[in-house]
Amino acid sequence: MTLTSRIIRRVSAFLFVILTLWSVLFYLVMMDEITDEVDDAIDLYAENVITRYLAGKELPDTDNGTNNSYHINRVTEEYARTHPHFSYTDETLYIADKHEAEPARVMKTIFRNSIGEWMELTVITPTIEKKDLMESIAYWILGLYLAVVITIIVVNAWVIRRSMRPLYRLLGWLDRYNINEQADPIDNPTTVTEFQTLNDAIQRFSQRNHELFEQQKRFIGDASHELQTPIAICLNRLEMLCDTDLGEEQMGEVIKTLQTLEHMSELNRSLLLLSKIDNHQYLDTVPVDMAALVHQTQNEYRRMAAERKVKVTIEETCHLVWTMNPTLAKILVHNLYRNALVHNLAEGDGELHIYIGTREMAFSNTGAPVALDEEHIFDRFYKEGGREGSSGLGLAIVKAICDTSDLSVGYDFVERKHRFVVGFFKRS
Amino acid sequence: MKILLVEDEPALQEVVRTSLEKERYVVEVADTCLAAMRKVNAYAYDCILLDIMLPDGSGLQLLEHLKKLQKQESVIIISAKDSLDDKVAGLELGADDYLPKPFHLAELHARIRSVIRRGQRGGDLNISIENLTINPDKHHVSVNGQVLDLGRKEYDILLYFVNRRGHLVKKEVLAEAVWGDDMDQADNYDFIYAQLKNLRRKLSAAGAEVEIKTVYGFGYKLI
Repeated sequence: MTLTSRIIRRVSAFLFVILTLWSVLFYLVMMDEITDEVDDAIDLYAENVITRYLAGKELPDTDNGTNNSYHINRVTEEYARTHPHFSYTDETLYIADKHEAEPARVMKTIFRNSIGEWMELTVITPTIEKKDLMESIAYWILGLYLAVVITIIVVNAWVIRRSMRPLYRLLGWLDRYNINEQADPIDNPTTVTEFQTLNDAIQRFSQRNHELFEQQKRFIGDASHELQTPIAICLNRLEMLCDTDLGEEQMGEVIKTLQTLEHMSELNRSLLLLSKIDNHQYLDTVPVDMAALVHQTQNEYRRMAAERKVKVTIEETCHLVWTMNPTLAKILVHNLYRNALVHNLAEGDGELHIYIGTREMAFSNTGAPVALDEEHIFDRFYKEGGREGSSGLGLAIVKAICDTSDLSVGYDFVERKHRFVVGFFKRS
Repeated sequence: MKILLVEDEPALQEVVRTSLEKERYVVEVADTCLAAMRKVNAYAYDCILLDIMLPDGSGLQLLEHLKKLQKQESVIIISAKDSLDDKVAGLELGADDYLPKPFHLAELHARIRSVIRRGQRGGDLNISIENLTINPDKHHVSVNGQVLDLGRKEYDILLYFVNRRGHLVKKEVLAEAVWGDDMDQADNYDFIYAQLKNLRRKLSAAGAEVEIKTVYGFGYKLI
């Protein structure tokens, strides 16, 4: 939900409640005022009638065009004692002239005539129809509400858009921001202090982030690079030791140390490779035929597959060509292929099925009967089951290659098979 | 045989030098590009081992310099910079081989032997040790002039050992070198035993004076 629509929604809801309350109040006050006025008029009229009646003057005509009608009845003393001498009620009466029932204000007053008899005067005056008034008020309030809301929407939309323009420009800038690249300076002139502060803060943070990121990348690259030579020296010294006359036990220790060092060197090479991929040092791209690459890899790993008794099948439904760096493409296929072989069933009878479709290349293999952790499988140094000799970087390299080559990569575990799918979608 | 080692890292310099001297090479050392240039200006070497990253510039400059001097030295680039660009650039500038760090010393010796052989004799001469003769171009092996019939892998193994005579060759390394990149991760090395057994049998039947010895089950050595 955008900020504008959120503000408009809230204002509308708030206005709805306020205007409803206000209309009820308005109605009550209005009715009170009207009743008061009507009662005053009836009072005056009744007083006039009684005065004339007591004075024996001619009473006003019932049908005198004022809508008022009245009648005087004689009542018993008992009635006079038990009823209030002034009463006002709202009634609906049938008005013969108009042939319809209309709401009317009825006033009853009891008085004594000159000979001491109790008389009751009833004055009826038609009043306004409350239902009509209510409807009318409701319509007008609704109208007012709509008018106010539309005005608010228009004004808000305009005002917010105008005054929030720096915010939207900033958001656009953030959208384009990539930690990998040196960010452009924020071009967002504004006189609003808050936005100025925000501009400065974001510029500062992004710059700092980028620097840290670069430093980290450089550090990893430098560290692995610097380690390469000492490792080489250690390896060579031990090899020289191996060429001398060592006892079996010593030779065993030296060889084990050599193996560990070689693993270290391998790790280091993978880290270097990762940092190079992350640093976009593999730039040149050519169209790569994935199927050809898979077949070539299958050839290279033929013996290893035979050794591990893994049955490899390749299903090629179309000619899948992707423009990317050829070295990275090779590493990608190699790592996935090797991964599928290495983590296959240890006791043999394993399978590896490679599917090549128009939009995907999938490696599915038998292996451990439990799914791997989808969230972390592509993380650096993630090791499932802690297989000795595995660097934990193979899949991280796969991920890095996919990220830099506009490919997607995912993992799932279906029908007891581990499946790694590389997605080839049109570049945006 | 005279070798110029251009390497700025003292420890690596020492290791390589010691190892080369054991092989009875004469080793000269330069630790900067400039020092190396002076040396090549003044002397001739059979082989130059060249590090790319030097304190005063790239080793590739030395290659250009050699090209300008029209020197025929064989050059092996040894570099920690495991990048294809360097390899391509180096080979284009006339280097004979490229060895990324870290490398096995045995591998270094084999490469040196190979480039010197190529450089000196046009690469078309037999390798002989004791009474064993190998013609690498024709894949031909003979003992005392008597042709030995070897399988392809057997031949590869023998050639590998001949180039690394006197050095321990670990099973993993042998597997990787002869069978391919993926084999260093193999679970067992039965396929090596089988081939080696045949090779040894053929060698001893022909009366070869060299022998591939097993070193405590860790690896093998040709003596």
